[in-house]
Amino acid sequence: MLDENSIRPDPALDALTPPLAPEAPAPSTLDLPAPPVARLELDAALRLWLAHGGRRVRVKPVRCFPWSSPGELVSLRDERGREELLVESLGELDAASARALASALLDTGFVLEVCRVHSIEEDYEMRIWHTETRQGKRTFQTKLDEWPWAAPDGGHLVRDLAGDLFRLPPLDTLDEKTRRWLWAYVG
Amino acid sequence: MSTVTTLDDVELLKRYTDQPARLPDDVRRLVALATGETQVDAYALIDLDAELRLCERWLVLTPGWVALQVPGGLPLEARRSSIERCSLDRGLSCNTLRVERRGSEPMVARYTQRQRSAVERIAAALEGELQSAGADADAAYAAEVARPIRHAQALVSKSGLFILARLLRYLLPYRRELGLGLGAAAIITLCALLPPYLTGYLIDGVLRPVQDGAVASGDVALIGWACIGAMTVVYLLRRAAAWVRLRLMAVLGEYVARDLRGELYEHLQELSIAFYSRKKTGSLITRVSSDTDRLWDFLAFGVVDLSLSVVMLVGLCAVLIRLDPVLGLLMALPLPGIYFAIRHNGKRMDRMFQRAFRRWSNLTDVLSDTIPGIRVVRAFNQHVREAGRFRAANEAATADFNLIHGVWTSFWPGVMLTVEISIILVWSFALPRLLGGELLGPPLSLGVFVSFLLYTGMFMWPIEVFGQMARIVNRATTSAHRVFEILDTRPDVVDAGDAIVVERIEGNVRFDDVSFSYDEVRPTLKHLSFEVRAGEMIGLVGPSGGGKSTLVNLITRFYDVSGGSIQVDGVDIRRFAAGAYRRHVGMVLQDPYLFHGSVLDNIRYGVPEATPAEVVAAARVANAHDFVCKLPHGYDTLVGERGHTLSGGERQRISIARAVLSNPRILILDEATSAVDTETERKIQEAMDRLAQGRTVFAIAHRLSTLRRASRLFVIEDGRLAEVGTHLELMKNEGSTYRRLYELQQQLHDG
Repeated sequence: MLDENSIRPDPALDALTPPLAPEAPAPSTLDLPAPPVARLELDAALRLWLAHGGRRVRVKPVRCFPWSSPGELVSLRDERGREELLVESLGELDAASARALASALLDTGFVLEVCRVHSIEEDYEMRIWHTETRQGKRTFQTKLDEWPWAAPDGGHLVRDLAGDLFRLPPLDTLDEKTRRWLWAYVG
Repeated sequence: MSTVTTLDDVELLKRYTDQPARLPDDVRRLVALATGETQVDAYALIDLDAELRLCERWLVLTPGWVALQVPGGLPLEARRSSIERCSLDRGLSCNTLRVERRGSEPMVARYTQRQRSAVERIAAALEGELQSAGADADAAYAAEVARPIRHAQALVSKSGLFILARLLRYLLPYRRELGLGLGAAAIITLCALLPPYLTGYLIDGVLRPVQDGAVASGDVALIGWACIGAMTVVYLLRRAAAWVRLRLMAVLGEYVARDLRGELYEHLQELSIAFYSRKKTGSLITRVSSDTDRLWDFLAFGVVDLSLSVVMLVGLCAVLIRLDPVLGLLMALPLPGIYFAIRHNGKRMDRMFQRAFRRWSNLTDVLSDTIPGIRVVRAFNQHVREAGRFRAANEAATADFNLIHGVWTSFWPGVMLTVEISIILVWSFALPRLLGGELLGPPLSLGVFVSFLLYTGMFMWPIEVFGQMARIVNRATTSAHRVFEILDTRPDVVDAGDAIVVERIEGNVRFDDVSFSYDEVRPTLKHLSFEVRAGEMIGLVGPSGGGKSTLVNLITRFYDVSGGSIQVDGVDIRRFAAGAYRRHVGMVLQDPYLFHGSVLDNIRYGVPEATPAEVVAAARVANAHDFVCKLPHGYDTLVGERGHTLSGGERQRISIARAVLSNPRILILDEATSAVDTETERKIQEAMDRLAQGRTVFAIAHRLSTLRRASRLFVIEDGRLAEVGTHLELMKNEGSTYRRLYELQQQLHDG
């Protein structure tokens, strides 16, 4: 079942409350307001639906911290991009809702994960990466001034010309040849 | 000059991606079998399966059907008439297309960003919004997938050699200088080969016979002095040739670089606004400055050095082997090894420099973050943390540069040691022969051996140039490619052969079913039709991203329409010569751009022949005259780069004066008062009201109160003309977007 403390509606600006009476405890001004009961489910077209407050709306989950805290604070947004609900933690949802949300997050947060680099060549204005990803073989191109940037989880991310994101796991988890190829670009 | 050897989109896909360049024939057959239609209107690769693994499935659009290939079976297909809705969800690297059908489960396809444009093209066609339906499906698919690569390198030559050959063609106008330079370089090489030979001759032909008592010194003194004289002449000739070569080639390189810079800059002036929105300003500036400079370096020295080193190396090997085949081979044998070692080391150093420059860029990032943001750093008391961040970046960069120093400082002594070992070997083989032994070959004269040693000392330079050759050529072709890429880009807005050079316009503007798309897939303006009479003021309002700026960009002909037509005084503006037409269209933008120069130069930018009195009159209309007179040098005051010495309001009024002076019949005001205080806004508004009199005006403003004087207001929403009317008319309509926006602004203002 849904824990009422786990799902929070839009943290509106009124959360920045005026000063409290002296005897009251001093909560953080950034505490999130209490949530309504809500339920999430996927339909046959794998769309995520949120039922709460007597309404049922189609929502898109957006991780607030996709790399530093991927399992926490997921913003559920309607088709016009407005926040319907802020889920503080997936672990606090009822099992079916958590499964539905986790499944939807797989799609929105999906990035290709490089597990081996065969070679990296330079061409005019771009760098060509011949790689093996967890999802299959992929050759992609990055701009010459597009360097992989460090992700909080210890890996790196790099964006190709088409806009696809590739995650490079921490170097010590990769084979020697891949590490040699990545040496100039990562670390 | 143009490159005719560029890759088309299909070739780009083949070269740079691992996905098919067109729809496979067996999929075509399967789709035809499932739908009964053989014509394919569009298709896209669906490259993610349900488990988010990379796969190869196809989404195919035929005239009556849309089909999605299912693994190991016939495609899942739907009649286009049964489709109720298409929706697209975008993720980081996984997008989802859902095609909702009457009476069936939705069709779901997942794909990466690379396939996005091609899939969205199909979605747009299904929604009936595709601008260019009926285009060649193969070409459209290849163009959509190759577009990011094409934008990264607009034109890709098939081979670096073509680029180099094209670059060398720029030398043709200077062939006389080039010939002289190359001739001088050949003389330098020949002159370098003569002194060792003369030295050997002097030893064997003069010194040894005299020391051995075979001839009297007086008999050969003349020959000795003749040798010294010849060497003097050779050295003088060599220096003279070196001077000619350096001078001629340096100057020639400058001329070629000048020609390229000039051609490049003039071409940049012709290119469309769309091109500038794709390319970074810094990159374009680098192409005109650094790349042409690098080409000067290559043309002035690289071309000659490379050809000379070939001649020198061949000449040296020939001379050494002729002097003494055994010793010659001994000296020549390590050369290929040294060459490959230098080449390998060059590649290794490239990677090391790449890493070091990346680290260096991290360091400059810290600087460019914190120096402009020093107030925030201080306000949040983060200077200690920032100092630590800089220290870490500084240490990392230093470590990498030290690594580079460690490599080159040990590599070159290693190469020299190899050469020196060869010399020791040569000595070891030569000494017994010099002493008269015949075990290792016939006796060797001292003169020949000294000549030999002098020649061996000349080996290093051509070897080094050879080792760096790939790098030198690579750098030059890269720069040449960057320059030719711009030169080969064609403007999107091109004058027709019989373009009308319009002298005068009235200012009647008519949009006839105008549609426009920046990427030929997603429409930004959809079927806009309206008519504006000369002298009318039209206020353009609506949410951000609705298409207001696109609309005015079409009127200025920064872009040409994708569908329909825009007519001015009854003539399609595509029939006008763009330059002549734009003289009649003035713009005042939110962020006015002033050039480095005086206030006078900036006001008469569009009309350089304007008299001072006309400039003052324009400034008066623009409410600029008073503040200009207060500047220390009046109208002759330099405004600095982008006018940074003036306030935003002052810059805006100068830009209005500029528009007043150019006296356009059509005027575009794009958020001209949005970034100034109330008093300045009042002055600017007054100026603009005067400027607008008697002209056709299109004014965009988020502050709706500034548009109350407009003859009519056009509400542009989602690319469509949603509402038309005067302020009062639109306010009367309770459900209108305009009224809602106006009331929201009023509430904000009152609040």
